[in-house]
Amino acid sequence: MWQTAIATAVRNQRSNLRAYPWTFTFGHIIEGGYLVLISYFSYYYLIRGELDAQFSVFAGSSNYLAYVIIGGALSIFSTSMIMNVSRALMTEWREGTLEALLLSPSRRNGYFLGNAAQQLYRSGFELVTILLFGYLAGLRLPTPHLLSVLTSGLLFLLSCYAMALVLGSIMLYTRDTYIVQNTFFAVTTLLCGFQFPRQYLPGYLQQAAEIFPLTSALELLRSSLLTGEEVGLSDVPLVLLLSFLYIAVGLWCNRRVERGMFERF
Amino acid sequence: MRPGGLWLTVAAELRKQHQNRTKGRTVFFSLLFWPALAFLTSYYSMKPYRSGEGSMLSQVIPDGRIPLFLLSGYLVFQLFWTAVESAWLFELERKGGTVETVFLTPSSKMGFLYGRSLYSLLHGIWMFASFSLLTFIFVADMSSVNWLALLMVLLVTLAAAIVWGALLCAVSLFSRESSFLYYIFQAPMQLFGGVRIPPAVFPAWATGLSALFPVTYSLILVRGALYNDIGTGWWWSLVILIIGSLALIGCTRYTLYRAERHARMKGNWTLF
Repeated sequence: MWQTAIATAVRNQRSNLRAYPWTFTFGHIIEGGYLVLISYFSYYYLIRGELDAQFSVFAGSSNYLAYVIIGGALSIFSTSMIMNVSRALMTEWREGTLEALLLSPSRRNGYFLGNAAQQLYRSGFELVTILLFGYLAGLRLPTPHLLSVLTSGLLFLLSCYAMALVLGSIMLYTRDTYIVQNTFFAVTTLLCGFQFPRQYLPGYLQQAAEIFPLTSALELLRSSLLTGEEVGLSDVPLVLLLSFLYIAVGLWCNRRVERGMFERF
Repeated sequence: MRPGGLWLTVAAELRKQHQNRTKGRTVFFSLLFWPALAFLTSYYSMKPYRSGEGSMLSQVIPDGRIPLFLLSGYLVFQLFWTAVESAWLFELERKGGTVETVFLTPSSKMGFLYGRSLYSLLHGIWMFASFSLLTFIFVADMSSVNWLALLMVLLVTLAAAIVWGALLCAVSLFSRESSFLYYIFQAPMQLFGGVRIPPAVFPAWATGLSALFPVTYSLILVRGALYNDIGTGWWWSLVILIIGSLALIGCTRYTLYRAERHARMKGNWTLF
């Protein structure tokens, strides 16, 4: 499995550098930069620092700018991770290498892990740049608890990976990336609480968001960054369980879809 | 060119686009579902702000008008956005090699660009417009709406969006990679155009930037008509938008001319 992962990561990195333009990365950075700007403008010019009383109750902190900038940066990061991992097989199909991949005895899990690892530096680069913008706009954090940040960061990555697998199988089944991915991101941006505390949403939408592992992972990561709170052991199993469920479903669906892939057309 | 040739080209381009881009029910998503979700997201993003009596927010956007403010913002933004999208899709035309064919025919090239832009608008906006209309009826205080002004302003805005789209199409004649349009225009148009934050509160440099986008003027016009708040600023915006659009038509012509010359010089024997 590891051999496949490393081989895939190296291959993707090379083809990305050689064949694909950088517009995607730059686009994400610009988008993130503007998310920061919008928050900054709203906070300083529109409301001049006046927040709703409930905000600090819901967010656990009254640092609105840090709250939305972290949310915005993580939103771009997760979009980038999920999009690129989930589209891996579709890209293979479009480039005509999917058949070769299906014929090879390599492990699919290794393949996806390799994709994710390669995406990590690209998305990480985007994340760091956006956080730099955020720093300029006034993002300051209290001393966070490092171990908690690390744990919740890993959980966040895992949940992105898990959701990407499921999304990828849907893409492969429908042979479409445009509609599937944009619908997915429109839904998660609304529900997962990237830009505002989820508690403002009506009850049924809050419950609907619980089915995504991303929601609770985001909450953990942000609260550990924002308030320096330690991540309790009780929060971890839910995210882990959901993520593994998604990974299992994703891998199973991918296998099913792959089987019929060349027979349908 | 025969008289009426321009309209013939526009009609032909409309027909071509229609056959090309109508793909079943999937249009529903990009036209209705995504904008609706984006609107909801920004509505809830404003929830953490203190509103109500005496708050800073209520001085800029009167209390209870936030949904209408955002809705009008999204309606106008969506109009201009579909125009940007048409330019973004222009790259497919180049990749498909159909631009050459169009350019080799004696049809009017301006007609071709405007046909594209117009179709994008027709294709993109009707569903969102009907959605907005329904919501307006539920949200708006009907007595304050100046219907005559609103109707006129919507027509002017539509025309401005078409002009804007055609200009961007002409710009994308220079490069095969027009996705940069998407990245350059999506976020700045929303931020500086005043979709979510009224430009009145911006610092001077940002106001300068917002003056560059026709969205800004259209939004001032639409919101003015909705609240029946028509003063000198409103009339100025109308004048600037109309004159600006006419100037942009000239720019489009010039860009087209330059792009063709550029293509002749740099391209190979199939022109591009």
